[in-house]
Amino acid sequence: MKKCIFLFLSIVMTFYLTPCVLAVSAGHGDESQKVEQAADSHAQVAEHGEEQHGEEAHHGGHHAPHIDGKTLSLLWALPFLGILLSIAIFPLVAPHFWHHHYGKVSLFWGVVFFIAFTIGFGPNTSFFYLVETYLGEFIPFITLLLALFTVAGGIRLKGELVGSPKLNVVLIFIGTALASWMGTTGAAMLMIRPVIRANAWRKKKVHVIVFFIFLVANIGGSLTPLGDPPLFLGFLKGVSFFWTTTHMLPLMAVAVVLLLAIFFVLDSYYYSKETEKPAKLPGGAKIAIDGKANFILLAGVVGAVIFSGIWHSNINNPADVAISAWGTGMLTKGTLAQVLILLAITFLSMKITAKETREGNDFSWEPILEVAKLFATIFITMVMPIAMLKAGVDGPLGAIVSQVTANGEPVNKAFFWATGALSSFLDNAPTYVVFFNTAGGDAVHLMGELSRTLLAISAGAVFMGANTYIGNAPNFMVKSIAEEAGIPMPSFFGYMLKYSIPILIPTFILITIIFF
Amino acid sequence: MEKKYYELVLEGHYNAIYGLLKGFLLGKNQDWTFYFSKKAGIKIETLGEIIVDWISLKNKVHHIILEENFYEELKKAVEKFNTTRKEESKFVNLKYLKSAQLVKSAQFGFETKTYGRPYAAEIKNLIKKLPEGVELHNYNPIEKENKDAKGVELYAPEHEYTFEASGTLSGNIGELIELRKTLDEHPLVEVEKIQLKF
Repeated sequence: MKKCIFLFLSIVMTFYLTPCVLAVSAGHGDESQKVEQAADSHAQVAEHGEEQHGEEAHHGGHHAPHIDGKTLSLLWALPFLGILLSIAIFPLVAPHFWHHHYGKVSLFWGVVFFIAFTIGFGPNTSFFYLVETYLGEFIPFITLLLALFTVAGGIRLKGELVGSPKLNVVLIFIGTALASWMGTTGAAMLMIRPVIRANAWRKKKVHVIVFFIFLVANIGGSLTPLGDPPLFLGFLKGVSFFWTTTHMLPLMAVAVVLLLAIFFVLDSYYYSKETEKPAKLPGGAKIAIDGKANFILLAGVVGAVIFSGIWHSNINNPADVAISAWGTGMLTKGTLAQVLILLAITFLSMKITAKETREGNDFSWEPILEVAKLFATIFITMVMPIAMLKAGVDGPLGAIVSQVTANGEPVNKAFFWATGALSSFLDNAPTYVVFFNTAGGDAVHLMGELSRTLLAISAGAVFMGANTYIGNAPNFMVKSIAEEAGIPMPSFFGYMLKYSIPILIPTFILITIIFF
Repeated sequence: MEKKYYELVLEGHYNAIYGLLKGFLLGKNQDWTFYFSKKAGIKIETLGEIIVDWISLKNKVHHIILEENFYEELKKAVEKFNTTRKEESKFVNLKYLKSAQLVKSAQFGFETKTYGRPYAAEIKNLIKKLPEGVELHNYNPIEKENKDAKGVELYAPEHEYTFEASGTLSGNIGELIELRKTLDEHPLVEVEKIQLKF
């Protein structure tokens, strides 16, 4: 298996790079022209975006290279698709291989893309995009996840509870509410073990974990950019912090109330079938929280992110720029301050949290390393599909754009379901960015006239990550922890057939009817 | 001596048949065992029976496993009843008894997979303590340890410990029904239906 996969990847590399090399040996093909054409057309883009925080605005400098998506070949999207499909397929078909080599697979797609990009467009363009992507997006993204993960991993809920339907609703609701402020991964990590311990005595408990995945690991992360990576990417692209909170709240409330009601009925039914209900707390240990100081640090994380959005946050304003290159602002002072504060919070959390608390949470750096290794490739390979999508219906991905628009206007229902369908099977963060750009990529416009479209994209990406185990990273983590605790979690398709299709899909249909 | 069992096929309402058998036991003051095959996880249905089961509203075909003594006494009683109380025999009549066969042997397969050591120990214990007259065949337990997989993982989750096994249990039907029930109650064990041989 291992050899076959490596052979396959080698073949992909050969076939992918050969056309680029041939084009160069024939005297640099069309691609360099594309950069020049784009530089001319860029003036039009700059006129359009007065207060943009989005990618186009980054290219405001006179010397900044720019790719024109209209003339790109679809092949440029292959590495992006490759890394997303690798994340989706390898854990299911070759888990052992993936566990040991996911970093190499990610590096493979990243390197293949970057070599081709450098050959095709020249080192000036490729390095410009590399620096811009990593400084402006990847570093803020990964430092936020690092801080949230470290802080959440330093909080532990102790004590023994008896898992009754009412208590389970309360626990899942607490996790759902926390998810928007400590991230779905952090909330899931904090709450999953207490939920499992509380229900250890029950024979039928798979549904408890499944609803935990629905609500804590996915839908709960709807309210802030801290909740779920797609929303933070939106924040980096200029969506304001509280736009997400105020606009997503009604959708989230409908989904949470409906799902908790279904859960309560289902859990009450299974609870009534249990023959040996424990009369009181097994072991009698009282409820307690370890690592309470991390809640203060969590408030610091929230503050740092809000601060970065209001203090020196305009990349187009030279006074706000902290780091620039190619005559273009790469990182604002606000974002730099956010990164530094988040790193300080991470360090502080490690210092003040007792070792036993982290051990109790099974804390390790592995999850954050996984995110870093995989998203380092996702961010750089995403450059091409985004350029293609920005070219609109005339671009190489015009078919996708025309599917979600009618007479040039976005169809919100289509955006909700298209973002959701892809987020169910591919990682929801890049999927969000793809549709964000399909809708024009201008955060100001999207928060204004097209606010329903941005809402559809945000809800589709966050909610429908719950449709499959591979839709959102914490799903797999929760499944894995539950399985080690002796809970027979359904298979990939079992999860969909027994739970997500009959429960989530009707819920999302209702949300479509009400909101889109 | 090992108990022998018969499989009876009766046509009628579940409650009527259950009442008949329970009433008979009470009248005889005996504690003989009997099992409705469907509830006990015994493979019984032919395609024809499934169709009859679906289309009939009231009377259905029931397969019942009875201890030999129970069967013999029931048979005698019904025969006697039919000759002495002809008027009432339309209610309790051998015509409702479609067939009766001596069960020679029985078996069922099972499989299990767990990622937790305590649960693996529980399952191993269940399989180790087999009742008399029950044998385990084709048992192939596999235990794997993966030290690299320790801790929480997001995108590349693997388990530090895996125990998986499958096998076939065969022997006395009475013991096998009880054992299957015990295994089926364990959430990490998947059991197949019991297959009877006549």
